[in-house]
Amino acid sequence: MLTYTLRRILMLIPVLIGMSLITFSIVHAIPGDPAKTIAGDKATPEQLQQIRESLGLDQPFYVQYLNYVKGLLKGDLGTSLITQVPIAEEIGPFLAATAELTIAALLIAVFLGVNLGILSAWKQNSWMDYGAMFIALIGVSIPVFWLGLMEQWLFAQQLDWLPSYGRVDPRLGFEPLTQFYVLDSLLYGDFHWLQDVLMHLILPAVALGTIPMAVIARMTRSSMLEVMRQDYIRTARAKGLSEFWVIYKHTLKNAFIPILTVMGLQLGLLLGGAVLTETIFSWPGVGRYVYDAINQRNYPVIQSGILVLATIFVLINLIVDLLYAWIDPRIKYGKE
Amino acid sequence: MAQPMLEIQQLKLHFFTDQGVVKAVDGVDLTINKGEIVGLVGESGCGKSVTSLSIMGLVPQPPGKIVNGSILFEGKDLVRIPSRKMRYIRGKEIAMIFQEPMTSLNPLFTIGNQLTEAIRTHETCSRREAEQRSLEMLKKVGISREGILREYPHQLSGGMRQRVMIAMAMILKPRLLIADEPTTALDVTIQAQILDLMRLLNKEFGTSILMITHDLGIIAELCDRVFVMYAGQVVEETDRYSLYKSPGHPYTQGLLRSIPGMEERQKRLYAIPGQVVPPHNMPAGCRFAPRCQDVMERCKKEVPPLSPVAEGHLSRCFLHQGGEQEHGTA
Repeated sequence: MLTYTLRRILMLIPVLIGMSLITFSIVHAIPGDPAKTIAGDKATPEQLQQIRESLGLDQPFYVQYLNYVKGLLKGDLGTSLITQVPIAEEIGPFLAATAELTIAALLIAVFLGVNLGILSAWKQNSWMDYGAMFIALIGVSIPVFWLGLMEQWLFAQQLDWLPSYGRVDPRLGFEPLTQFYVLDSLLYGDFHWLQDVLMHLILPAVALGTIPMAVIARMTRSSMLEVMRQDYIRTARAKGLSEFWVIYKHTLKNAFIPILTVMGLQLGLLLGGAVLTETIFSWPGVGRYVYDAINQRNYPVIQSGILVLATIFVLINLIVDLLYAWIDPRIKYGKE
Repeated sequence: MAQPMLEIQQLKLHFFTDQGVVKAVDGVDLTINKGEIVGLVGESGCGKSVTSLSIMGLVPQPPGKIVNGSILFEGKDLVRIPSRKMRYIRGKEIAMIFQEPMTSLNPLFTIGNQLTEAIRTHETCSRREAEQRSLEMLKKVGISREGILREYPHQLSGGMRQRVMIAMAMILKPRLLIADEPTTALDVTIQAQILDLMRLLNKEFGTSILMITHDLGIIAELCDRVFVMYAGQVVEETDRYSLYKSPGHPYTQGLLRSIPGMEERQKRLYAIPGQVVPPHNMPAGCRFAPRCQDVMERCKKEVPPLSPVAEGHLSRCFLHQGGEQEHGTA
C-alpha cells in the first residue's frame, strides 16, 4: 500500500509542473497589459515602464516563469494587483466557501444518486426503474443556471421558505472562525446560526448537485446490474442473507469503483461549475473570485486561482486512486 | 426403510421469455433420503441446475416460474413458503456449493468475513466465537494455515476456494447440501480430494447430499442412488450398481458408451447421434426419440411414463415395459 501511495504521489509532480506552465502561459497570452491595470489609463509610458520593472515583467518569459515557480514552492501565489494583498492569504475564505458548497452538493448527489441507482437496478424494468431513470435524465439535461433561478423563484420568492443569496444572514452577526460556516456554527454550538447557514446552503447545493446526482444514479444502476449477475451474489443469497445485505454489502461494494470514478470527476466539475451557481446565489466562492479577477484583468489572481483549482482537482483524483486500493484489495496486491 | 428428507413431486418450472416458453424442468420427481448421497446426471441444459436452484428458491422470478408441483422438505412445501421465510431455510437447513469456486466468493471481503457472516446471519453469537467456529470448520475441510481468516479470495487457489465454499456451506451443519458440479472447474487430483471431503462430511454430520454432475465417474465413486435427466425430465432412477450393470434407458446407455475405455484404443469414441431437442420445440412423444437407436413408432406419439425395470429401478422407456404393462400393473 505504501509503495502504491508513494508512486501515485510521485506521479503528481510532472502533472503539477505541466499545469503551472499552462496556466502561466495562458495568462501571458491574454491580450492586455497588467501595468495598465495597475496604473490606470492616464499613466505615462515612464510610469508603466517602472511598474513593469518592479513586477519583473520586462524579463524574458522563462525567467518570469522560474521566478513564479520559485514563489510557488515557498507558498507565494503572488499578490493581487487590485487589493495588493498576497493571494495565498486572500484566497482562503473563498476556497472555504467553495469547498463547503461543493461538499454539500456532493453529499446530496451521492446520497440521492446512489440510492436512486440502487432502486432502479434492484427493481429493473419496473415503473420504479423507469421513474428513477426519468428523474436522472431530467437531472443531466437541466441547465444549472435555469435550475438555480427556478429554485430562487419558487422557494425564495413565491414560498419564502429559504433565502436566495449569500452564506448567512448578516443581521445575525455571525463571526467566522474557520470560514467553513457549518463547522463554525457547530463549534460555537449556536443552533440559530447553524439553521441559518444550512438554509442558505440548501438551494445552491441542490442546484449544483443535480447534474452529478443524475450522472451518479445512472452509473450506479448499470454498475449494480453488472454485479448482480455475478456468482458471488448468488452465493450471498444462498447463505440466506436478507436482500438488504445482499444489495448494500455484497453488491454495492463491488459496484462502487466505477461510481467512485464518476464521483471524483464530478467533484472536479463541481469546483469549476460552481462559478455559475456562485454567481446566481451571490456565493463568495473561489469561482466568483477568479471570475471577478478576469473582469478586472487581475492577472496574478487568475493565474494562481486556476492553479489552485487545478491542484485540488488533481489531489481529488489522487484520493480516488487511493480509495480504489482501499475498496478492492486486488488493486494494491496486484501492483506490488 | 430410509425416510425421505426431500421429495420433489411433479415439479414444472418454466421460463417465460420473448422467444416463448422454455420448459426447463418438466415434471421432475426426485427423492433424497436422510444421510443419502444422490446423484443427478445429465448434459448441459437438461435442467439439473435449475432443479437444484428451485430447491433453494434461487431461480430468478420472473422470467422463471414454478407452474406445478411441490418440493417437500421435511414436510414443508418450499414452493409455497413465502420468500421471507425461505431465507431462514437457505444456508441453515439447505446449503449449496457451486461450480465456479473462482467467482463464487466475493472478491472484496475476507474469508473470515464471509464465513462468519454465514453463521451470524442465522445465529446470534459473538464475532470471536464465530471466528473460532470458522477456523474449526476450515480445519475440517483441510485448511489450517495461519491467518486464513484475514485473507482475500484472490490469495487462494481454486481448490482452496472450493474448500472454503464447502466450509461456508457446512458451517451450520445443514440437513441437505446441494453441490452443483463442485469439481468441474478443478483439476483431477483436487477433484478426488474434494469428493473425499464431501463423503467425510456426509458421514460425520449425516448431511444428505444432492450431487449434480455430468461426470459418471463421480457418480460411481460417491453416490448411493442416481437420477438421470434429459430435456427437463427424469428418464432413469436407479442405484449406482445397476446404472453401470444394466442401464435401462437408451440415453443412459449412450452416456455410458461415450466414456472412453482402457481396451478399445483403436476405436473412435462413441457419441450419441443428433442434438438435444430445442427447448421451445419439444417432440410430442418421448423426448429422446429423435436421437434414439431403438426408436419405435409408439415413441413418437406417446410420452413413456417412468416405469419399473427392476426393484428400485425406474426407466422412462417403452422398451422395457412392453410386456410388463400388458401383464397389468392394474
